Amino acid sequence: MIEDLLAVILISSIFMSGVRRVKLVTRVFIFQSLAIGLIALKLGLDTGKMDYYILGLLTIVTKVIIIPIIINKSLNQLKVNREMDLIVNGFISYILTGIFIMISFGILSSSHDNYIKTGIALFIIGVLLMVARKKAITQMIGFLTFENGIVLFEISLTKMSLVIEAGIVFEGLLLALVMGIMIFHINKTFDSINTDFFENLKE
Amino acid sequence: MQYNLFYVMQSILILVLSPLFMGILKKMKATLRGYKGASIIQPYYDLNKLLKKGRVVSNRSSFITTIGPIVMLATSITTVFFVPVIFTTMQNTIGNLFILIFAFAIIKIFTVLIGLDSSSTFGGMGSSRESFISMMAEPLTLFLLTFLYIETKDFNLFHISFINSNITHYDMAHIIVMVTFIISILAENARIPFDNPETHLELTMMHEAMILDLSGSDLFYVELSSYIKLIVYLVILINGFIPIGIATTFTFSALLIGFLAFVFKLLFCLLGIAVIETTIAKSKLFRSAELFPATISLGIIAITLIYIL
Amino acid sequence: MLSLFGFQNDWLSIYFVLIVILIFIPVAIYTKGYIIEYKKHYSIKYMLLLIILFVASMIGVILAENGMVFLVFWEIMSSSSFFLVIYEYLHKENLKSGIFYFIMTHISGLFLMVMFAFLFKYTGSFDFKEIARLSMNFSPEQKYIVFVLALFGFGAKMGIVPLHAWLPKAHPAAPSNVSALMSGVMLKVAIYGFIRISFVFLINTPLYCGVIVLIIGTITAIFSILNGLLQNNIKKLLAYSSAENIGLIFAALGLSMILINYNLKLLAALALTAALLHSLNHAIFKSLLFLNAGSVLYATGTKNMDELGGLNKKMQFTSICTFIGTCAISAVPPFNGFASEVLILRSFIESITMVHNVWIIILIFSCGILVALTSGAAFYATVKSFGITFLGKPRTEKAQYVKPIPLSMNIGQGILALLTIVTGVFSPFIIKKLSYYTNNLLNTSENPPSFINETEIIVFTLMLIIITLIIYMLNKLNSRNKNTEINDTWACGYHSDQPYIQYSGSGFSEPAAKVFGPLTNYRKKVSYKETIYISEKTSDIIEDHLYKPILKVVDFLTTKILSIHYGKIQLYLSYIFISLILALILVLKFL
Repeated sequence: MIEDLLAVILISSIFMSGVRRVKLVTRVFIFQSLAIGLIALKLGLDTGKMDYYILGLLTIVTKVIIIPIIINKSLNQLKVNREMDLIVNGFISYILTGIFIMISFGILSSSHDNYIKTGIALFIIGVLLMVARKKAITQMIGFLTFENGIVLFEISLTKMSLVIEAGIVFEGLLLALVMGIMIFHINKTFDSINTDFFENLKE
Repeated sequence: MQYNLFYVMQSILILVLSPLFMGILKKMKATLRGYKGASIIQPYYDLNKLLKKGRVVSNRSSFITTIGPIVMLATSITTVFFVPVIFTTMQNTIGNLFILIFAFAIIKIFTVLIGLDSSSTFGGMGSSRESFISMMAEPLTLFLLTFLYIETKDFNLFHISFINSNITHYDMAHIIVMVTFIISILAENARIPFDNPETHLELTMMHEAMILDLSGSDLFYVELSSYIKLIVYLVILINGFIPIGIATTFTFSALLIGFLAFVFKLLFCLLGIAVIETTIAKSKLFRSAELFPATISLGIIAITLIYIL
Repeated sequence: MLSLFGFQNDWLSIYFVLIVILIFIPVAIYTKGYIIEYKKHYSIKYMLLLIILFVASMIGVILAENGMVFLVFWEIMSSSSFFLVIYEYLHKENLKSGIFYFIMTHISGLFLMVMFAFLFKYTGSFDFKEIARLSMNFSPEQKYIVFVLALFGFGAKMGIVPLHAWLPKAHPAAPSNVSALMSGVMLKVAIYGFIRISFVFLINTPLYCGVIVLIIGTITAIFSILNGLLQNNIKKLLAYSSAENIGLIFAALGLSMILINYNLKLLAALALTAALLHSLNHAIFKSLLFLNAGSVLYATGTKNMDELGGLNKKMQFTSICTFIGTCAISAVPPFNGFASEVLILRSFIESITMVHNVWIIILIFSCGILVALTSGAAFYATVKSFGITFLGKPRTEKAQYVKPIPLSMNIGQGILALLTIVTGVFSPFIIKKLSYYTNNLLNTSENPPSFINETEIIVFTLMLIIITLIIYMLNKLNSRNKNTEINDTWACGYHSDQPYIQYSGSGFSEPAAKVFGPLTNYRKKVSYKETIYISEKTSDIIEDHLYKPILKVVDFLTTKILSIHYGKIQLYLSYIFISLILALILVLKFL
């Protein structure tokens, strides 16, 4: 069951790397976070430790419910639909995702811990989304994917402290709130959230 | 001896029933869209009408148009005898996956050349797009062969379905490769999102563009060949990936269960195709070509799931 | 008796000599008709002499048992092929291509000389049998040095990336029968040399050698075919396609070397058999396609696809032969390309399951994906070449007034087409024989399994033929009382007599140009004369980024060194004397 969920996470990450519609990207992100939450809950069921239950619940509440509400509110205000102009075009980004996942799995093949491997794959996808996209919303979702990867990484650590966990989750929540407000202001000033216009601030 | 006779008969069953299955597909699409639609035996009437007409041939066409449609239909019929339908066995039979997949290359090369033969713009356009899409779809057939070999260490479709016939729980890698093969089916048989099989507008044609200039008995051969090709691809999907219920012994109950399972699975696949064709629109050539790198990445994930995870 | 002169009859040599002779006979018959065209401006006796010298030297290279004999015949082969490439010297660009080819082939000869020198230093003899016996005691560094020299030496002759830039220039420049010999046979001689070094001399090379060969082979294949897809010159497209197939053979050889390292001897024999079989098949169908291009050139005077079209009406036999060649390249059963393509894919797939190193699995899998992509692209390229040239309407007057083709040319092509079909249908028997020998070479103790089920291909072919005949009879029966009307193309009611509403060659491959354009430096230029003209251009990016800078550096150095030439004889004599003394001192010191 856990293996299947990890595979679902990987598939969703490939999907996210190439689609153009921002609403679709958020939906895939919701799916991915749900899978992570379910993994945490199932681990809690298996081991009985309270930490996993709380982690799972927190992940689901913040990343599946609260953050998408924030993102959708921003999207409705901005009337943004698609990302037309990708820095790395769809073709190459799909292949790059696959190659990176394969290489990262190859490097870590000696360890038997599946969560670290998937976590690193999610890191890479998050960085790709942040670097290779122009619209601020997609970059934000990239950072949140990166956070998902950190959560997975954390699950694999045997000694988990609730404080660190809560800290990370709330950081993600705060980031989403702040980015939501910032994007609204950026849009008001520049009339678009295409980050190309930031270059005008240079002089 | 009885086994051989039955084996031939199960293949003839597909041959005879493939227009019926196409009719069922069109009826499903019509029902999903909310109108009554033609009856399910309408393709038989259409094929009969084509057979009765004379042909019109372009004055620039060559031996490709003369012998092409006949060879295409012959190839389709030959491939039917290479797949298991209801009954499978571990004995040494024909049914090598390589011959099957490359036999479809015969159909592909004739279709593309018929498109160029007609010396019209539409033909060239269809041929160029079809060659491009099938060039990008080649790695997907490699995935099919690789993963079926990894699971069963054999290349014969009969043996594969025999070995896999008791498995009920499929792991994620299997499902991923199945999805990849479904995309390959859609690409090779000119279904949405690569091509719209019902259109006659030049912007959206691919397969239709190549056979635009054929008429009469030529068109009959090509249409029947494409019906059979789609059904054979679906049979490969069903019996290669989800062969539960297929008859492995030659008893009456096993054969009955095999027959019912086959029909049920085939109808389910046709329903799936009908749903895809109703909900998604045909995408631009380069957008649909972007689907292929995504599926290549999926295949890469599948192999990492098998070996590394 | 032959061994007196330094010749041997190892099975590998006999196999490749068979390939040479099998291709030479149809090409010779073809030449009889083809050279009539050259009677006016060039000397025919010259060409016949050179061709005989060329083929004899190739047979000499393959049968040589001694390093010296090998090098002598290699040099004769290089020189005679150079003179053949510049045979049509009245066209200036042929001379440029010829000189480029001359330089590359002598670079390969240089590397081979150094390689044989090293082998002599390590074993003390030039005799192949001695070297094979003593080579088991080489250290890995020695094996690596010999391997790298062989890679460059034979690679420059084979046309692997990055030493491939001469191939698309030299093969179109040569006359078509010579192109068929060069592309079909000479590249195989280089393959023979590489197999002899890597598999007979250096058994069990280090792992990274096999990895390098596999990567270079795959990159050659994908790079060449994507470049070839966008060409409009028929012979250039075929030359790039040759480079692609050589890349495939090389990749199969690399796979075999990797598998020997993991002691998977049976699979290594499969990969080696695949490479050898593909050499034979490629020789046959590539020579066929080059002879067809020669017929087209003879009949119409142009090699540009965009000016041709509709040739099937006037050159019926040639178009059927080209169709058979196209089917063979695209791995359509039951022609011969199918068997070798299946074997190559099989060796890739089976080795993924048997190797246990993660990185090697990733490497083989990625190369497998690229190999599948190249076979799809080869289909695209050759269908473009056949379809645009032979089908449809003639695009210019050059395709309308067609010279009749002499019978000998037709016979030559027909023999090769027949060979394609025969080697395809009887491929399981050839594979059985070959696998017996390769298993002996690699010392696997078991009986090799049948690599393709023999009965299946024959059953498939027979079923296909029988069902085709049945449908044909039914068709005749059906159309007894119906007429077949021959009229203009319908094209949805859009009637036009203009030939340029058809797709042109560049238009046909445009989707690939859009996606893979950056790999080939694809540029489109729009210019206005009396109407809008669009012209497209591709160029070889390795040539632009690797060769041109090297040439610039060499140019710069030579202008600097030029200053020591004063023109006085005494100065030159003293230079020679000084360098002789220096060489003697070096030899005495380091020997």
